[in-house]
Amino acid sequence: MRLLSLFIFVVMLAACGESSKGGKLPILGNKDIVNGDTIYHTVPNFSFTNQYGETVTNKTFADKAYIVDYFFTSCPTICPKVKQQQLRLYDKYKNHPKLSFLSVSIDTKYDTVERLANFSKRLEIEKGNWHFVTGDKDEIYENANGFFHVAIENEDAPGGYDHDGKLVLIDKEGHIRGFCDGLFKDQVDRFFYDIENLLDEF
Amino acid sequence: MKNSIYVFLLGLVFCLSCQTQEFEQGRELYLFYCSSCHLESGQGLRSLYPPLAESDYLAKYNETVPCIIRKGMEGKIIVNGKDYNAPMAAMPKITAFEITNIMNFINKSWGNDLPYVKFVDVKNKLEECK
Repeated sequence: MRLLSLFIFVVMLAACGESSKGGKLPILGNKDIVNGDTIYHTVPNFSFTNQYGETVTNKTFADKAYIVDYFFTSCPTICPKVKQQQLRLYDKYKNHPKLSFLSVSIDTKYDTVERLANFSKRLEIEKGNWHFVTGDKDEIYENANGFFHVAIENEDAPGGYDHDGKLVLIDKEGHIRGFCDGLFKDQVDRFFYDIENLLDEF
Repeated sequence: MKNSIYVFLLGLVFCLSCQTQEFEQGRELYLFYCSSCHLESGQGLRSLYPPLAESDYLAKYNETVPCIIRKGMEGKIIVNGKDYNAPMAAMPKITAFEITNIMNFINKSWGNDLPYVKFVDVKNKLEECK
């Protein structure tokens, strides 16, 4: 019994060590072992159109880290609060050459390129580092889980869609390295450290 | 003797908390219905959602606010010299009582000092909404 509690204590210590500031961020998601090599989870391939009508794919972020969220412009509930927190991140990193933002709309019917452009203008986003995108509906919904996101059309949900307010941090290899709930200021405060940590790898 | 000091301190704490927690119901209702867009201190969001804190529009059109809350709003408006054009959702089920509470909270918060509104006036106004 005493041995067991010692064991649990050691495991807990080890777990703490992994997430403490300064250590390298873990690669999140399921792992596969293929021929003795560990294959880490990478985000799915995507091809979207941003608010300027430009094509945005995985290659757009080939040498950058990026932060992904799922949203829609007419979202009456959590999105504005998440956007408020993202703007804190954006204000710090808007001119950073190695960090971008990708906001994927799940309302492909209403959120046209024009509406996304207007939304981005209203949030006072300068052209460059923050892509508000739309695309093929099935692709967006099927890819959501690969980005650690949830997106479900649900007419009973406020605004017609169920989704989450997560901000997911992806490295230049397409590995998910961290996330936080963009609804909560204290989580976003800590997320700044994760971002700095990842940028240190460049 | 010691107990009575505790009772006194407890009473003091209650009094102080009453003073700072004015419009408690209005505050709760605001956080539930309004703060998603206008945010927790009525500051609005950039050029997307207009502020309610120290808003000239709110002061000028205060008597139309019950209808705006119930029926929503569309089109361009100018608030403190800046234009906004995001639709505001209607809330058909919100009651006159709730609107009164929300308005009194907003009208006296974040630097606002607009008149108190009365339930009966809000109720009458709601019957006139287009």
